[in-house]
Amino acid sequence: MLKYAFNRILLMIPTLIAVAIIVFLVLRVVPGDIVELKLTAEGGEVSMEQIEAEKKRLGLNDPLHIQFYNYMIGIPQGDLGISLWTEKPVAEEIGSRIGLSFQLAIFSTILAVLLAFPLGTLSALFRGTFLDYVIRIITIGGIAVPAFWLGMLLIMLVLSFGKLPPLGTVSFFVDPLTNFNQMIWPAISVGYRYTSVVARMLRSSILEVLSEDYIRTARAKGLYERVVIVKHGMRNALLPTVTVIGLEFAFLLGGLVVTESVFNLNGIGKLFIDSVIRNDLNLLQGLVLTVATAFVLVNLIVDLCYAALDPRIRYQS
Amino acid sequence: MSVSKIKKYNNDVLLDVLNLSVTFELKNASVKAVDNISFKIKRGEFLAVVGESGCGKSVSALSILKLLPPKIAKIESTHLIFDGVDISNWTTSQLREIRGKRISMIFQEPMTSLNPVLTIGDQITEPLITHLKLTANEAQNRAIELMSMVGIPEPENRLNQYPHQFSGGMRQRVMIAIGLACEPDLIIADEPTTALDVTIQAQILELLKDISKRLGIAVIMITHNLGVVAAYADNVNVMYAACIIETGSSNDIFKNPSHPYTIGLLRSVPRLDKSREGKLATIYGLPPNLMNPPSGCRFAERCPIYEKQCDNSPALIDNVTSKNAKVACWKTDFAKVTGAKMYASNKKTKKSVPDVNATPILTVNNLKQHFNISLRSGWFTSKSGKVKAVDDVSFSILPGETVGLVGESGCGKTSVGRSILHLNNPTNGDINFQNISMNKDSIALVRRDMQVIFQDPFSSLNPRMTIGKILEEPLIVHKIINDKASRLKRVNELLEQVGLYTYMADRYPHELSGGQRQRVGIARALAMEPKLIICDEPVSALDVSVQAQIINLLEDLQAELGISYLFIAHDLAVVRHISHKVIVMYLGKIMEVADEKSLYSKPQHPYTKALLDAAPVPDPEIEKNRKRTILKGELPSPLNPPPGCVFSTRCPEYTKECSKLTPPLVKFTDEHFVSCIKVKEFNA
Amino acid sequence: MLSFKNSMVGVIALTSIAFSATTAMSASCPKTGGILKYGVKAEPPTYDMHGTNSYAVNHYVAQHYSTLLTFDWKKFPKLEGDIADSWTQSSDGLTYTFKLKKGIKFHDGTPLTSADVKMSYERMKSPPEGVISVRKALFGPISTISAPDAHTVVFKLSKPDAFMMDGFASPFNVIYSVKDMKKDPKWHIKNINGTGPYKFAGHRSGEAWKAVKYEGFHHGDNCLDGTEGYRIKKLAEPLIGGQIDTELRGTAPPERVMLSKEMGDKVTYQAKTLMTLWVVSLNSKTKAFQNPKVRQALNMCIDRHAGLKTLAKITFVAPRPSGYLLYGTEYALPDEELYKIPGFTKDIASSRKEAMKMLKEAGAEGLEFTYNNRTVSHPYDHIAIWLMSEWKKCGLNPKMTSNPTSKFVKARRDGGFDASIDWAPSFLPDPTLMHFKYISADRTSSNYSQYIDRELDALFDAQGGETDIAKRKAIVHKFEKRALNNAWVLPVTYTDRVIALNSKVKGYTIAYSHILNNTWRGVYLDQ
Repeated sequence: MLKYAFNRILLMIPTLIAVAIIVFLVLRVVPGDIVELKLTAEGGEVSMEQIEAEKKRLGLNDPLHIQFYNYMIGIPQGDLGISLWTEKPVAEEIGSRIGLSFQLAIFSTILAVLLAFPLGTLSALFRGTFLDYVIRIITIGGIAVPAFWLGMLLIMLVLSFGKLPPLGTVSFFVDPLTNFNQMIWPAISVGYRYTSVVARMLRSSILEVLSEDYIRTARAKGLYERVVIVKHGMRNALLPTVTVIGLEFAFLLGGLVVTESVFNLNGIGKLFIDSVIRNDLNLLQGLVLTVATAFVLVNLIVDLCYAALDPRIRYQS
Repeated sequence: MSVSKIKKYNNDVLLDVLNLSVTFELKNASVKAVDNISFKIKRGEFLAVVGESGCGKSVSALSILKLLPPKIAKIESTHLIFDGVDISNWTTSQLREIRGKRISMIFQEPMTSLNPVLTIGDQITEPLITHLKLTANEAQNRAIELMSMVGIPEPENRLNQYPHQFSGGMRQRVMIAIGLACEPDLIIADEPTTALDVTIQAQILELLKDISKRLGIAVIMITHNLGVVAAYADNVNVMYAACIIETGSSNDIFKNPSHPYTIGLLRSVPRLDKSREGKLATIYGLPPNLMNPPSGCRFAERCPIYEKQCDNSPALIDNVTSKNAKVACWKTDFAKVTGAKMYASNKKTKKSVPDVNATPILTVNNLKQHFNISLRSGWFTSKSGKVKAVDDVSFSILPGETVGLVGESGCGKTSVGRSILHLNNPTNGDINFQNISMNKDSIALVRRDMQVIFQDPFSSLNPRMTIGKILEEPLIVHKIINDKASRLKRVNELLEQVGLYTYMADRYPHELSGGQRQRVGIARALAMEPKLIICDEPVSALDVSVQAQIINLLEDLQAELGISYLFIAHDLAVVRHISHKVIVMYLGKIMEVADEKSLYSKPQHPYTKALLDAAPVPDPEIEKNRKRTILKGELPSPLNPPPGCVFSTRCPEYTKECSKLTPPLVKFTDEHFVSCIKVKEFNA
Repeated sequence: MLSFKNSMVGVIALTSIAFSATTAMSASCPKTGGILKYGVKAEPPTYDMHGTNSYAVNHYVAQHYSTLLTFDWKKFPKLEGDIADSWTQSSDGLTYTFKLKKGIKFHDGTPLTSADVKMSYERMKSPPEGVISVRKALFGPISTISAPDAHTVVFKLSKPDAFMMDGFASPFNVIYSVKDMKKDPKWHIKNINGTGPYKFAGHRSGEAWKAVKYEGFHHGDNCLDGTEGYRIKKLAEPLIGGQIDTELRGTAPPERVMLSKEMGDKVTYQAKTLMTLWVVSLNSKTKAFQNPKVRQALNMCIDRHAGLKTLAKITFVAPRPSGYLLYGTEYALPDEELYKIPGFTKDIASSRKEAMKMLKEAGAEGLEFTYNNRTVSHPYDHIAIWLMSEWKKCGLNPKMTSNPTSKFVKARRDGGFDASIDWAPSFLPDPTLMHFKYISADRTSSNYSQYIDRELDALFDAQGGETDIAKRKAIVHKFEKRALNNAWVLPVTYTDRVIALNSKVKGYTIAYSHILNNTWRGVYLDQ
C-alpha cells in the first residue's frame, strides 16, 4: 500500500512538469500586454520608452528561453515569480486566496457527500417509488443548472429575506457564524451539481451492486438486511462513486471560478478571471500549476481511497 | 409460532414442499417459473434436481428461503414444512434466522458469489457471529477449523486474504465453508461445480458428499450434469418447464427412466465410457415459453410418442415400477417399453472414417505461442513474465477427420486454435494448410478454406444485423456470389443445411435461442465452403438436448461435405463422441495423442487417466463401483511452470526423475503417443 | 515621442493674483462616526498615485494623501487649497509660489515641509530609475522647484502653461514624504504614508481595502471612523444587500431600475456628465478610409438624435449628440452649428441617402470593415450593437471583433483594426485637454487613427497661446469643425454618470469625473 502510494506520488511529477511546460508555452501565444494595459487602459499619456522600460524592468523583454529557464528553475524552490500586476510574489497572491477556495471546496464536498449519500441510497432502495422520482428530478436539476445561475438565484433569495453577509473574507476560526453565512450559499451553488452527480452515481451503483451474486450470498447467510446493504452493498457501491467524486472535483474547480465572482468571494477562482483579463502571465502560470496540483492530489487521494476500499487494487503490486 | 422458539424437532422428513409455485410479475407479462411442485427431502438425503436451463430448478431452490426479488417474485405454496414447522408464511426477517443457520446455500459462480472487498475470514465468520453469537475470536478459530475441513491449505494465513487471491476451486471451498459454518440441516447447492474444471469438480463434489454424510446434512443439488447426478445423488427430481415430471431414486431414473423427456435427456448425453455408436438422441425443438405454457402435458410438443390424451395435463403419480418413484406421463408404460428407440434419430450409423493415407489437410509442427505479460509496473522497475500458452505442439489433421483437443482451462487448447487462425501470430513453429506454409501474409489466401465457430454464439454475431445479412456478408466480402438473387438463394440453402427455417433470415440474433444462434454460427462458417472448421467449445454453453442437436449437425455435415474439424472442448465425453483422434493438453504441452478408442479405453498418461477418473458417468451403477483417483491440488501458475514434466506437481506416480527432464512425446503404438517417462513404448 | 509640453505654449496673462484660503480650517461634520463601505470594480495595479491613471488606485488611495490644491466641488472648477494655505502666480505666468499650511503631519508622525512637496514633484517630473510617472509630460514646463523655507515652495516654468494650476489640483499628484522616497524610490508602489483624511489600515489583494480616520487631518472634515472598500463585480446586489453603501464609478440605467425598486427611498442618486467622450477611431492605414467621403458617410449613417436617446436608457451615455468638446460648456460648438456638420443633422433619412450616394461614388458600397470592441458590457457592447445596426442601415458590412481588455489595448495600439471604439478622458472642459487627442499622431500617443494633419496642429497651438476668450473660442470652433469634417474620429457622445448612494451617506458632491472627489472629505453617515 505504501509502495503504491509512493509510486503514485512519483507519477505526479512528470504530469506536473508537462503541465508547467504547456502552460508556459500556451500563455506566450496569447496576445496582449500587461504593461500597456496597466499604464494606458484607463487613458493617459505614456510614452513607448516608458512602456519599454517597464517591460524591461519586469523581465518581459528577456528572451523566451531565459524566461523559461527562470520559471522552471523557480518552481521546485516554490518560487513562481512575481505577479506582473501587483509585483507581489505569485505564491503570496495565491496563498492569500487559496484558503478561501479550499474552504469552499471542502464545504461543498462535505455538503455534496452529506446530501448525496442519503439521497442516492434512498433513491436506490426505494426505486420506482414517488420518493425515487422526486430525488431523481432534484438531481437531474443539479446537472442541468449552471452554478453561476443558481448562485444568482440564491443571492436573490437571500436578498428577499434581508441583508447579504458582509463582504471580505472572515476566517472560520475567528467568526464561524459570519464565515458560515458567507460560505454556505456559494457552497450550495457549487455543491448542487456535485451532490447530484454523486447521488445519481451512488444510486445506480447501489442498484447494480444489490443485484450482484455476493449480495444474494450475504442474504442467504442470514445476515440482517441492514448489514447486507451497508457492509456488503455500500462498500462496493462506493468504488465507482469515489471515482466520480474525484472526477467531479475538476468541475468543482470550474464552478469556483464563476461562483466566486458571483458572490464576490476573493478566492483563486476570481483571481483566475482577473489574471486572465489582465494578462498577468506569471500569476496565470502559478494558478494553473496550483490547480493542476490540486487536481492531481485529489485524484491521488481518490486512488488511495479506492485502493483502501478495493483489495484487488491494493494487492496488485 | 414464535421465531425465537424454534428448536430442532429431529423430524425424519426435513423439508416437505407442497404445491410450490413461483410467478414472476414482469412489466407486461407474468411468468410461472415454478408450477405447483411438491417434494420431500429426508434428513441426510442427497437430492438432485436436474433439468435444462429455464426449467425452474434454481428458482424453486431460491424460493424456499425467499431469496428472490420480493417485488417481482410471487411465491405461493400449500405448505413448506421445514423440520416440522410451516415456514411458508414467514416474513423475510423470520426467515433470516434460519438462513445460513439451518438452511444454507452454495451458489453457482464462486467468482462472483463472494464479496470482493471483504476478507475470506470476515465472510466465513459473519454467520457465526450473527447466528451463534460467537465472539470474534471464537468465530475466527471456528473459521480456521472450517477452512481446514474443506481443504484450504494454511487457513491461518489465508483468513486475511481476499477472494481475488483465491482460485475458482478454492473460492468454492470457501463457499462450502460458509455453508457449513453453522452446521445446518440442509444445504442447497445451486450448480456448485458448473464453472469449474473437471478435476476440481471432482474434488468439490467429493468434499461435499463426504462432509454431508459425516455431519448428516441433507443436500439439495441443482445441476444439469447427469453424470454428477449419477455419481452422487440418492434421489433425483427431473424438472421440465417449471414442473417436476419424474422423481425417484437415482437408480430408478437412470435404469428405468419412465418419462419420454428423461429418456431423451439421458440419451442425448455422449458417453465417456462408450465409443460413438451412432447419432445422439435429440429431442426435437425447444422447451415451451413459460409466459404462455401449453395447457396439456408440457412436453407434448416435443414428445415422439404424443397422443391426443397428452393435451390434458398429466398428474405426478406413483410410478408402478418402483416405490417412491413418481412420473407425470399418460404413456409412461409405453415409454418404458420403447425406451430410447422412440427417438427416431437414434439409429446406428457408422462414423465416417477418414483416409489414413491421404495427405493431411493441416500439419502443425513445433507450434509455440508465448505471451509476454506485464506483472507489475512500477516507476523505475517493471517486471514482465512469459506465459508459454502453447509450447512445442505438433499434430496433423486428415481430410474429413475430427481431431479433438481436450484439457482443463488454461491448458492452451484455445491458444492453439487462435494460433492456427493467426488471430495471435505464433511465436514459433510451422503450420501447413493444404500445402501452403502459413504466416501472417499467407493467411489471407486460406481464410476461406479455414473457418471458425466460437463458444459464445451470441457475442460472435453482430446484434444489429439480421441473420440473412450475417450469412450474406462473407459471400459479398469474398466475392463468392456476386448477384443478389443467387446470394439469397444460397443463404436459404445454408439455413436449411443447419436445420433452421428460411424465414429466420429476417430475424435478429437476440430473437433466436442459444442453439439456433450456434447453428447460425455454423452456417456462417459453411458459407465459405471451408475444408477445415476450428470449433472452439462450440457446445459448452448449450443445454444437453440442444448440445446433442449441434453435435449431430456437425457430424452430418462432415459426412456430407467431408469437412475436417479441430474440435476444442473441455468435455471429455463430447470429444470422445465426435472425434477420430484426441489430443490431451496440459499447461501448453501435449500429454497424450491417440485415436479415440485407445485413448479412452487404454489411457496411458497419468493425467489422462485422472481426467477420465474425475469425469462422472451418467450411470449410477458404474459410479457406485468406481474407484476414483482424485487429482490433488490445482493447475500450477503458467508463469512459473514446474521443471521437467509440467504435470509432475500433481502426478500420483511422481518420482524425482520427473522433475529432471521434459518427457518427449513418444510412440506407444502406431496411433498412440504419450509424453511420460513412466510409459514405456508398447513395442519396445 | 512628442508630448504634452509642446502644446502648452499658451501664455496666461493674468496679473499676479493672490488667492486666499477658501476653506474654513475645520469644516463642520454634522455627524461623526461609522464606517462607510464602498465598492470598486477593479483592482489597483500599484499604490503609487504618480505612476497610474487607474481609477481603482484613485478610489482606494486618494483618501490617504493630500495634494497642493483641490477643487471646491460645489463651485467646480473653482480651486481651493489643500495643503497650500495660499498661492501666487507671477504676472508672466512663469513663477508659482505656494505657502503651505503649518502643522501638517504625515500619518507616521513626520511633519510635512516644503521639501516633501519639492521632492514629490521632482519624482513626477523626472522619475528615478524603476519609477513610472505617467505625468512626466505634464510637468515638462517646470524648470526648477525650490523650497526657500519650510513652508514655501516655488515652481519656475520655462514657458507659461495655462493648464498648470489644474495640474496642481489633480488628485493623482499627491505629496509623499521625503523620508519614504529616500528609503526607496519604489517604496510607494507597495506602501502608503500620506497626510490625507484617512489612514491606510490594510489591503487584502482582490478583496478589501481598509482605512481609519486620521485624527490629525489638517482640514478636520473627515467625519467617519473609517472606510472599507470592497472589490465587487456587480454593484446592484451588494448595494441592496447592504454589503456596500456606494460605488463611485457609476450605475447603468437598468441597475437603477432595480435599485429603486428594491431600495425605494433608501437609495439616492447624484448625476453629472462624466468628461469621457466615447469615439470611434478610424484607422488611417485602412485603404477605404483614406477617402474622406467614406469616413463622412460612416459618420452620416449614425442617427445620433434618436439613437442616443434610446441608448441612454440602457447604458450610461448622454442622451444627446456632442462634438469633441463637452456640450453646453464655454468652448463647445453651439448646437445649431454642430447640427450642420455631416452626421449631426436631425434629418437622418436624407443624411443616410446622401451617405449611400457618397459610398457609391467612392466605390465603397457594402464596405466590409472590422470594428474592434472591448468585451465589457457597459457601455461598449451597447454602443457596438447600436453602431453595427446603424451602419448596416446604409448597406455597410461591419464585422465586430470583441477582445478582452489586454488584447483590445494591443490591437488599438498596433492598428490592428479598421474601426475601433475609443475614448477621450478629461477632467476639465478645456480645449487643450479635450482636443489633444485629435492632433497629429507624431505629437500625441493617443491618436490611434495615426493620421497627420498639420493644420489641426497649428490651430491647436494657436488656441493654447490665445488669451482672449472670444478669439480663442473662434480658433477652437475652427478646430472642432475641421476635425469633425475630417471624420477620422467619430464622436459618439459623452458619458452620463449617475452614482447611487445609500441614503444614509450624506455630504458627498458628485464631480465631473469619477477620478475626482474620492477622498471622502465631508462625507458622513446619517444613521
